[in-house]
Amino acid sequence: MKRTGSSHRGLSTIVTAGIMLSAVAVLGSAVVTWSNGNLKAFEMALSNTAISNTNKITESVAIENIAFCSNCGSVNSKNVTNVTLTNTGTVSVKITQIQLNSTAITSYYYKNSYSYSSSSCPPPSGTSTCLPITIPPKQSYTVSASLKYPKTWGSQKPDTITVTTARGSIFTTQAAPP
Amino acid sequence: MKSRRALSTVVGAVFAIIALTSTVTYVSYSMGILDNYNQSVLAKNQQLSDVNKEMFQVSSITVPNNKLNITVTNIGNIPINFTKIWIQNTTATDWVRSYTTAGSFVTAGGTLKNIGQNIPVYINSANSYNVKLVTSRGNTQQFTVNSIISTKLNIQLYAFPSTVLSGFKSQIVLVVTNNSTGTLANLTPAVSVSPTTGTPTCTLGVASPSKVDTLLPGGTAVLSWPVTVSGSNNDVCTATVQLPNGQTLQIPMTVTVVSLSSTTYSQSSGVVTLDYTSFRWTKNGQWNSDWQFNNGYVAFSMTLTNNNQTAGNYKLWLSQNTMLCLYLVPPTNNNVATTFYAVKSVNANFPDGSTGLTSYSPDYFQGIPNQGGSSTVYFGATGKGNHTPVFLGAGTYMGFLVVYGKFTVNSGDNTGGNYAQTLPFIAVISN
Repeated sequence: MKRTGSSHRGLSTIVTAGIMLSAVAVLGSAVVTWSNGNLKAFEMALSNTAISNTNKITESVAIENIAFCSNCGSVNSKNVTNVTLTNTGTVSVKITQIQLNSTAITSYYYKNSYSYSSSSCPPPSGTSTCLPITIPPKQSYTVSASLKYPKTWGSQKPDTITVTTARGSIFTTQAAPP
Repeated sequence: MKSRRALSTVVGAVFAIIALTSTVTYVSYSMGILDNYNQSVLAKNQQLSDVNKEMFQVSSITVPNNKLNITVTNIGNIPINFTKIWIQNTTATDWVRSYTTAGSFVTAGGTLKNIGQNIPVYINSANSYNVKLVTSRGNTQQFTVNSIISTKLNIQLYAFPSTVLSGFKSQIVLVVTNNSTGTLANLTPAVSVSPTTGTPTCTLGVASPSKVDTLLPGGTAVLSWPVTVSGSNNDVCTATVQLPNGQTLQIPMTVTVVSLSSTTYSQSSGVVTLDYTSFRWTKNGQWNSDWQFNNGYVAFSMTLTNNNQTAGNYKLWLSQNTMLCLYLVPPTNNNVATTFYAVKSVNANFPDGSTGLTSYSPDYFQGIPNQGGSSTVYFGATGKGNHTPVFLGAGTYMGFLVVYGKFTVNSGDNTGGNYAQTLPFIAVISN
């Protein structure tokens, strides 16, 4: 019986080729899968960043009116400032903080019968800490920001009112109490 | 060998396609995101630009029937939609109201009127108000409607003229300047006039205008009233104007009566004057005061006054040449004057040719004292110093006195100055 060398070489070549193909397929698939995953992650990050920034750019709040209320907290307390905000942008705006002369307001007064009381933010009357509030586009909202006793709003000198949104936008105005 | 090369090429191509597809997809998506972001930035820029372009001016504020009537002019180049009006009664405590202003839309360059007419707020002139207009873009403009009661104003009061002829009118003019920072509403002054010296009659007329609805900051309003005054010389009517804030001004108006002063009478009217009411004529010794009689012999009498103010018992001694000249009117050819020379007296039996008149003799017989002295002078002789009566034919006559004399203490003195003057405005009709 005569053995031929070509048949040995053929088998090893096939095996080798199979192994190489398998390795390439596995490694290639892994690389492709990994890169696709990364790209997806980048896409998501880019998308989130873009949407966030776009919304931040788009949001616009006008501090429409500042009314210093003498008796809104208690009689002659002079610690409540009614801040009327109007969403002049095209996306809803969430108000997270109101500052009066750099003092963050943590107490908001609501009076049931008052026309500018909040209806969406409980309780219906009395002192509340209920922020944030969300203002839909083209809507106005009045927040009664109350300084903690014995602080009062200044008299005959400008007070600075700063409004901060959840997206980080800051809107500022000045008003002088009576 | 050919088949092995073909297989690896296929595998590489598959991976290459996958990698390229992923990359292109990612780049496309990124570009889409960036495009959206860019659009947002552009839109935001446009919005901010519009906010800055939005400009309006409150051109008028009136308060008819106690309701606000605001006129706004769009001085920008984009339309404006007013969405809200805020009103704060600053006189009261914690009185703040806001109202939506539906349909308050004004085009670029246009004017929007009657803002505030439809809101249920009535302006009390005793109160001050802060009014704020809000646009849909968030711009606001605030102004104040002040109560005049709580605002001190720059006011001035004049009387034109301040010295008034009795029976004539003076005009009181009130000038009010709003030197406050807010608009004033319902400026209605209270005016009265009363005599403060003597007992003149002071009558206040109708004001024009009776009130000022609104006065913008820096603006000036002028109100006036006619006042009729009559009374004696140097009587005084005083006008008092009071604003609702208590500011009061007074202005006097002095009555003056037109008269010629005795001290300047000789300059104004002549050294010798004739009292025209004293004019008399006679044809039979009966003196008549009218100016018409039948033709024939006639004599006249008139009272002359010496206005020379020189003291020292001087008199105007009348010369025999003093005469009354009458000319026919309308003038005729060769129109010669009919002259009536001065006589001492006209007697009851006038026109008797020998005793009806007493001759004016001696010369300078009659003296009229200086400083306002008066004396009746008679005329009727045909020549100086005689007593022949003058026949006046029928006709219409105009005439004048020709007075000659001298200013001396005594009739016979020659130290004074001679004087001559004519006195016009005499006319008679001889039928």
